[in-house]
Formats: sequence, C-alpha cells, structure tokens
Amino acid sequence: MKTRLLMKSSHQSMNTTLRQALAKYTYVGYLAYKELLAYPASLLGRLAIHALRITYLGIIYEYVFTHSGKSAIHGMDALHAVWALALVQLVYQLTGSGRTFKHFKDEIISGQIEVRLNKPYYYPLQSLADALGQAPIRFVLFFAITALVLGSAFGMPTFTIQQKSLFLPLLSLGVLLFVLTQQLLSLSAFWIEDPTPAWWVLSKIAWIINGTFIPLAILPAYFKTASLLFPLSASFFLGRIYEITDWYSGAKFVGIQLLWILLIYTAIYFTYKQGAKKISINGG
Amino acid sequence: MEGKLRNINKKWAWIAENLRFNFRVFTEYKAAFVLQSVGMILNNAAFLVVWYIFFHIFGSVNGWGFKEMLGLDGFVGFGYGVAFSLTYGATKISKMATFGLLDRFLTLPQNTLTMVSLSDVQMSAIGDLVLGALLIGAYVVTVGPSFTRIALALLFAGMVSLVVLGFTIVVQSIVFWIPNSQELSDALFEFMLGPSLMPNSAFTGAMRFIFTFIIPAIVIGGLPVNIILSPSIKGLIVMTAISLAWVYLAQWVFNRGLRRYESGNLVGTR
Repeated sequence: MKTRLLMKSSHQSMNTTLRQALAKYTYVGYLAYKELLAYPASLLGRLAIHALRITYLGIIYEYVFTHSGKSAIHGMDALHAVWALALVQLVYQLTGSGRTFKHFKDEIISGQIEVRLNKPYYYPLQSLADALGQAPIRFVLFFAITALVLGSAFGMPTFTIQQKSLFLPLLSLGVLLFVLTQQLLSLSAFWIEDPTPAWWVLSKIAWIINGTFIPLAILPAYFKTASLLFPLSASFFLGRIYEITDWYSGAKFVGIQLLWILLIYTAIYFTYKQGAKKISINGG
Repeated sequence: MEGKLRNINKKWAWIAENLRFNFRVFTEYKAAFVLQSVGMILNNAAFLVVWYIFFHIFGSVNGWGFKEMLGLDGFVGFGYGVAFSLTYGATKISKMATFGLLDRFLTLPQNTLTMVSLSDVQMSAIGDLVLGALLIGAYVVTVGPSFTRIALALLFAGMVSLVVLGFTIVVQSIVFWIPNSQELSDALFEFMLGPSLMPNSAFTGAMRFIFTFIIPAIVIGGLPVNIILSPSIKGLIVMTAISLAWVYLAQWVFNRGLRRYESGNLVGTR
C-alpha cells in the first residue's frame, strides 16, 4: 500500500514537473510570437520579399520549361516545379533562415551563455521554443501569401490524399529538424573560434541538394540519394511532396526526418553538456 | 583653386588613412580573416554549382547560359565585396540612428556620411570581392577579351560598387522617417540582392523596368554583363547615369534624413 502511494506520488510529481516545463517553454514561444507582431513593418517586409522571391523563381521556371520545349522533366512540369520551390522557401520562412544558428553561436562566443546556465531552463529547449514560437503564425501568413501569389500568377496544383495528409507532418518535422541542426552546428563555437564560415558552406551545399533553387525531382537520382543523407536537406522534404506517390514513399520521408531529429537531439544533449564544462566565468 | 585642390588631396589622404586603419583590423585577426574570406568564397561558389546544374538541364534562359552567370555572380559579388568590406558602416546607419550613435560623427570636421560609411569593415566581404574579381576576369576571357571589354569591366566594377553602396545608404536612411526600422532596411536590401543573382534575362516588361530603375537589381549584375557582351555607347551612358543617380540620391536622402535626427544621450568616443 505504502509502495503504491509512493509510486502514485512520484507519478504525480513527474506530471506536475512536465506540466510546468511545458507551460514554461510554451510561454517562451508565446513571447517569440509577440515579438514577431511587435514589428509589423518588418514582418510585412519579409512577406513582400517572400512574394517577390517565389514570383521571380516562378517566372524563371515557367520561362525555361516553355522555351526548352520540355513540358515535364522526370514527371515534374513547370507548375509543380514552382510550387516545390515555394514549399522549400516556406520551411526557411517559418523559423527565419539561420536565425537560431546566429543567436546560439553569438551567446557562446560572447560568453553570455554563462548567464543562460543560471536561468531556470535548459537553454537548447528555450532556444527551440523561441524559434518555434513564431512558426504557427508565420505558417498562416506565409502559406496564405504563397497560395495567393502562385495561385493567381501560375495556378494551383492538385494534391493526392497522401500528399495532403503528409503536408503538415513533413513541414513540422522539417522545421524542427532545421532548428535542431542549426543548434548542433552552433555548439561547435565552444571549440572553434567562429563556426560561421562552416555554416555558410554547409547551408549552401544544402541549397544544391534540398531544392532551394532547383527542385530535386528534376535532378539526377544521385542528388536525391545525397539529400537523404544530409540533415540540412532532410529538413526540406516538403519540397519533395510531389514525389510521394503512395503511403510507403511518404512514410519513408517522415521516418528519415524522425531519425535525424532523434540523432541530432541526442548529439545536442551530449555536446551541450561537454561544451558547458568549458565555460570559465571571470569575475567581471 | 590651389586651396581647393589641397582640400581635395587632404580629403583623399584622410579616406586612405581610414582604409589603412580598417585593413589593420583585418590583419590583426589573421585566422578569422582567412577563415571568413575562404568561407565566403566557397559559399559563393555554391551558387555557381547550382547554376551549372540548372543550365545543364535547361540549356539557356533567353540567350543567357552559364558563362553569363559567371559575369553576373562576378559583378554582384565584387560590388557587394567592395561596398561591404570598405564601407560596412553604411549598413549600420539605421542601428546607429536608433541608438543615438550618430552623435560622435556629427562633431567631426569631415562629411558625416563618409565618416559613418568608413567607420566599420566586414572581413568576410573580402571573400566576395576576391571571387567577384576572379569571376569578372573569367567572364571577360570567355566572351573574348578586348581592350574595350576589359576597360568596361573595370569601369563597371567600380560603378556596381557605387550602386550597391548608394542603395544601402538609401534603405538604411529610412530610419529617419520610420523609427526602429532596421529589419525593414535589411529586408529591402535583400529585395534587391535576391533577384540580382538570378538569370536576369528572364525578367521582361514591367519587371525589368522595376529591377532596373527602381530597385537596381539588374544594374548590379545583368546590365554590365549584357553591355560587356555587346559594347555600346548607349549602354555605357545608361550605366553611368544610373550609378551617379544612386550616389547623389544616397547623399541627398541621408542629408535630408539627418536633419530629422534627434541626438541620443550615449557617451562614445571615436
């Protein structure tokens, strides 16, 4: 009886801790959301840039498909190519491209990370909540502008039931993976002077194999294989949604994203633990 | 007349001294300088890989192929590299005005805009500058080098740098009318940089007009590439007129804005 009571009490206390943690990080996310709305001119500017970017990408792809005499490449036509590129851009816009990397790395390089250690939160989770807090509202706004711009200028593509069902999982997991990958790369600042050049190079290599400028569907098969092996391209599987023809191919994309998330979060946990030991606090 | 010339000489000597001082900053942090410059070169080279693959699949875009993209990336990279490595301070006008940091420049006996622009440098932009110069050279070689083309390439490299700097100053000066608009200024700069790196030949009609005369995206890449390919006096005049217009517009907008600037209460030295 006593053991059961103890177990019940420990279970309740664990529930309370989890609830408190959830409330805490949700509040961090809420603050990030409020921050986004605090600067409407900036948000409008970003929306306008997104609209412009997908428009000129659309113009270029419509032009090359029309004038090259190719109605489709590997089954992908101009309309689907334009939408595939826009969906990759959507993943970038949901968290701000490279924002987490910059914040996290700056905290480490400037030594401000020591202040974070004293706060009643686990910094990688706080940073994650901060990055994801803006994602829902950004999704609504950026997806609306994408649909409006592309729908009116180039047309709306059709989605199969599998593609519709996997849209949100691929997007959410992609955004989560993108943020975690940025965190892991920024943690290298504990050991090297400035990891920014490494970030530039890796993120640009990702451009080639994640469909930022050329949809993966029209590239040779080895680019697609490479994209499965690189977390910075797995984050953008949403852009490959038109390659999903059945439940199996869709589940493969989601499964790979989940695997990367697990691996990268584990790596962050141990790297952060080791990195935090390197912090030396001066008396200033 | 002699006094005027002496003043001009003094001014250039002062600018040269500022640049020398800024370059000493680069050499002070050698490892970071090399790492950031090489990183930026690799970063920009990724663009070329993307376009190589693109043109391998599609052939050409309205007469443009991979060799035109060499020139395009070259001019944009060089212009960005010069403007941001030497006059990076211009990208901080908005921030300085927001925090009242312009005060320290207002009391000095030199042109405020020049002082502000030369007040900071960006190490990584040297990578843009170096790769940009190499790509411009590669473009001139691929289209067939001649005295006219080499002269135009050198001239346009300078003009493109002025346009990038001029546009940066104009968008940064928005802060004098819209407070706390740093992100908006950065976004507007991206507004120009994004399309400038795309195959410009696909932009026709109204879009081409906007990207030439309102947002100078085509001016900093596509236009010089086309003029070097088919040199013409008309092209040279258009390019010169647009570059000068941006220089004057930048100075005018900044000076008008500066009249609205209210001093901060921060104490700083320079």
